[in-house]
Amino acid sequence: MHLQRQRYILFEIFYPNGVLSDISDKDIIKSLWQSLIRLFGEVTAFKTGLWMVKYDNKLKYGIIRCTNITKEAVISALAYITAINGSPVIFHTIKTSGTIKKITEISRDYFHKTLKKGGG
Amino acid sequence: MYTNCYVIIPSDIKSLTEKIRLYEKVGFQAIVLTADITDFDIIEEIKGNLSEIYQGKMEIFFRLQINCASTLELTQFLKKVSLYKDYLISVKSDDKDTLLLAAHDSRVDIISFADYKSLINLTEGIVSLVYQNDKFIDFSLAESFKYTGNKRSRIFREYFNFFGIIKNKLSVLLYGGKEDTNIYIRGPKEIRFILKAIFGIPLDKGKLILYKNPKLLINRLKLRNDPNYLYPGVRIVEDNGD
Repeated sequence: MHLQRQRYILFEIFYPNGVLSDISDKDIIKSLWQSLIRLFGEVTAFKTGLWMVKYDNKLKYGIIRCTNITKEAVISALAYITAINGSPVIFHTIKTSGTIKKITEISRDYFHKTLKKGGG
Repeated sequence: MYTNCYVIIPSDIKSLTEKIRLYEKVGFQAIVLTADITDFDIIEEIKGNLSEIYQGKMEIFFRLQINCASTLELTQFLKKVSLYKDYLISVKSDDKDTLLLAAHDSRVDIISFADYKSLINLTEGIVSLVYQNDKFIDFSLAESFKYTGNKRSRIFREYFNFFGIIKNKLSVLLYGGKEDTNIYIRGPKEIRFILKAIFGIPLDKGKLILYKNPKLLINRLKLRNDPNYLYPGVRIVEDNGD
């Protein structure tokens, strides 16, 4: 099987009820797997090659790696997550990229700007 | 601009401010606050106090929804529509004759199918009339976020049939979120990817639904309020005072 191209998805988490709760990267990956399997089934889920590259619990953002053919499925599955550990959450996809270098630069610029503005 | 064409107005002002900020955070650049035509006073009050409610870059427009069960009710409401020139007018009904009449009428902008239960009322005739008369049809995916399993599959099946009736006339579609709670708010990017991954609608067509079609509609609304605008296709360019 030839090596599949990767895609890196930069996402952030919002709490619509305004209550911030401690969510770990393992909780996110577990919820994402469940959402993927429910929506697209096990056959598509295994093709995604999911990996949490980075997760910042303070700024509530992360980077997920998946394959290029399953990018849409992963983003849709993220959108269909409505709660983690009982806390309502909204996943917002900021950007996707083919290289980790680019996505790290984007995350630095985006969250640096957000911190400068004094909001989030 | 990415626009959510159906935003429910919550009961208190603080919730409205938070809701608008959340729409801005998830990526929308414009929203259309929607109320029933019988709640006109509420929407007028919000319009008057808009600068206090929200100060930001997002553009906010207003829409009045006519919920009617028969053609007689619709005609009675439409007689007063000239009073609401700076509002978008939408019609929602379970009666197919009423929807056909609304699709014909020049005073109506949107035929609303944002309520999941009304999706079965769509017919090819309505789509054809809407397409010919440059109107729009709105829909919402909010119902699919509430459930999982069998129930969600049935909901997806209804949406699939809905898109099957629309076929290649995607230029009539608008996305009207109609999220009754903030938990179901999703950004335009997520909606485009959901339409692609689940319903097979290409990403560029998703952009048409979320970006270009609302832009056309809003430009039409702005033109309607232009004092030099007479009727569709006619605008005063130069007035010599004759």
